[in-house]
Amino acid sequence: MLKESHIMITHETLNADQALERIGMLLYEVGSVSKKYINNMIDSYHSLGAYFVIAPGVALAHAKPDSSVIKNDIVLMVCKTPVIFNSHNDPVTLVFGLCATSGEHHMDKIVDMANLLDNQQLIEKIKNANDIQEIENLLTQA
Amino acid sequence: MRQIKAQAVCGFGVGSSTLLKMKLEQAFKANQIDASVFAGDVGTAASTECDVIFTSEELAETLKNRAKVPVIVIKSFVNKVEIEEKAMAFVKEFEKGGDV
Repeated sequence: MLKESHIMITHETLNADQALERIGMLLYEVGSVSKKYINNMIDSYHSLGAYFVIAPGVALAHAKPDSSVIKNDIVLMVCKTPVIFNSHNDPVTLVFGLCATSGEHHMDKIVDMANLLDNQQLIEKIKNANDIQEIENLLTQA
Repeated sequence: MRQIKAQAVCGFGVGSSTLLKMKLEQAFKANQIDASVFAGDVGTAASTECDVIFTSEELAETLKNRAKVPVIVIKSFVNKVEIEEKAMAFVKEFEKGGDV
């Protein structure tokens, strides 16, 4: 579901903005967004709040589909020091970053992710994983 | 009973709403409820025609003031039990034809 290049693990203590900046940078580094998208993600958090923290410990960060999105993509950051977003689903260990070119297009990766999130055992394993390869393997088995 | 039109809402109608839409579809299907679910964004959701809106706690407050249809808060978009219970509670009211 996700390649090694699309996964990172961090031990840093990050606030919500910093976490969004990191996940946005990852989307930028894999070539799926321009840098503007990173600011868009942070701005949308400031204006709409932490609604994207969709389940206990799990965030699905994203911004509006616009010209700053190059292609549909999903990345994952595992935060060994959980992040506080000011949500009832805090603290957050898994931060997914999503970008889409339009709301119309069906994203297969969202379907994969929905199935993944159903599997509580797998989620726990990913939270506890210590290297990226391990996470990639867990996601491949899913 | 006619088909229920349900709207799953997030900030932009692309990420979490798509996920919620899928979960609602599964919940309705599991209970043999005739429903069509679509994803929407918080900016246009209140003026889009539907029977019910499902969204997160953070966005519900804004929507409740503007929407003419019931706004139902889902705390965890991956909690099948919560989604199914809340969806079916709405269906029950919808079948009665009363206000939810």
